[in-house]
Amino acid sequence: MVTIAAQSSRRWSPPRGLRRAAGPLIFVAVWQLVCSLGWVSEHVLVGPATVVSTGWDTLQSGLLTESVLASLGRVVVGALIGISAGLALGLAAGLYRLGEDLVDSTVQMLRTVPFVGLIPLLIAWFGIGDAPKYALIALGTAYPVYLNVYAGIRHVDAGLVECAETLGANRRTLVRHVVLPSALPNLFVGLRHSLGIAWIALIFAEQVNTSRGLGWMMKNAQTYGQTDVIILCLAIYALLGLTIDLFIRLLERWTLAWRPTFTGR
Amino acid sequence: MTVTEVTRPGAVRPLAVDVRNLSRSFGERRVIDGLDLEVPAGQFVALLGASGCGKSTLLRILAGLDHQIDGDVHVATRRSVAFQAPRLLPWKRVWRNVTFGMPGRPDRARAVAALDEVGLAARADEWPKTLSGGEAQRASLARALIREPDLLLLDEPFASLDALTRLRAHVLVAQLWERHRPAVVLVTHDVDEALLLADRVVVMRDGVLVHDVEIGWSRPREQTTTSFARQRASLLAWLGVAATGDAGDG
Repeated sequence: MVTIAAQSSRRWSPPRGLRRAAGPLIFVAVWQLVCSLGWVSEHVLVGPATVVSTGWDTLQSGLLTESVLASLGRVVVGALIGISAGLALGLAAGLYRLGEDLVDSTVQMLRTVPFVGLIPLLIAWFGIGDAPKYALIALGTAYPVYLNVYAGIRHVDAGLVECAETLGANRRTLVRHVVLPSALPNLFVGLRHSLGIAWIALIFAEQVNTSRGLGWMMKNAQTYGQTDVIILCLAIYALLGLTIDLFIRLLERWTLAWRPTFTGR
Repeated sequence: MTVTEVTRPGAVRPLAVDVRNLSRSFGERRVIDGLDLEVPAGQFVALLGASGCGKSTLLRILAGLDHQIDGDVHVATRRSVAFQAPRLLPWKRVWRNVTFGMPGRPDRARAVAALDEVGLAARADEWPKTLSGGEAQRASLARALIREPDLLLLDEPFASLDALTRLRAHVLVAQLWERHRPAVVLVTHDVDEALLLADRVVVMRDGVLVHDVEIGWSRPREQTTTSFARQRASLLAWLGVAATGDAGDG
């Protein structure tokens, strides 16, 4: 015999937000502990407290704000171009046979070229200003959006399309009210993937021919052996990435409220 | 050769369905093979057949979803379909699903009235994911009926419901039919369902109609009567099922 015990819902458990924050907090605490106890040299790794004070200093001098704004601007412009292009191509390939024939094989071919390898070419084409950086980020962000939008459109439930046709929906209604909403969850997957890649592309782009931005700050710090600044920049990359991901999640929760999903236990 | 959507003029009773010499092949296999079917306006026809006999294919042709056909098919212009799965758009509130595809601005009051007929008025503003299987199927019926069809095509709409919910759905469909009087073609493999609901039962086998019987009993019907049992046994025999009792052989 096995007793099936009732699962008490009254058992206290910490609020969800606190539980989610616990992981990173423990991580930071252990990090600080390791540094305070002097287990690692501060040339190798500085503690969170040092990073915060370095952050404060660079904020006071205006360097940090300038760098963050420069980097953020590059990501926003580059990602906007890339995401728009990926969306447009995905829609063209997903909705039209002609678009699929023209676009898909081409994109699939270009996709196999590692986009980071294009930096020298992009500099040759666009010079040494911000343009090649926008181009690199745009290239990196376009593919995930394209792939997911295209797949999302093609995987629309055939039963729903058929049903909509019997209900008198014309092609425009069909696309707007059946095909696009069903591709929306995929668009979000592509978007989050894209924005993750945008930051990676930014780091690569800012390593060459740059005089502003987080990547430039990091490269300088490397030259002068300032481990604290390097870690500060990495922490800021992480924070910016998290913030954007949070924003996308909120957008997702709001637009996909209709979706029956498994939310775990 | 084509599906034209006209009610045949000059017929004694207007026809909701007029099919002559219809054939449909999938590759080498002729799923429908020279089929004829006339359904007068307002008649409730149950189309019985074992799975794979082509009854769902016929329904899809009548719905205008399949045009790869030979023969003449005339169906009422205003027709709607309820499928085996409710096929509600998950990203639209229940009432917007009901009005979906109708010309003009979405008319909430009308949608709620249609939902009220199937007992779902209170759920009008919810997402389809919150509906149970039976409720979703009722919403799908409301969506079909708000279009005031002359021909209602039902493709095993009760097959996935549990036994109790199915009984309630039968009663509901009977009521809705009495009130709106569309011609109905109900595709099913459930003999009892056919006998409870239909004016006429046709049996489909090997791509043609092999049996056609009028059911003149008054409504609501009892499954316990002798005539019901006899008719049931006869239909089962036509379907190729060895029935208990004195069944006539097909």
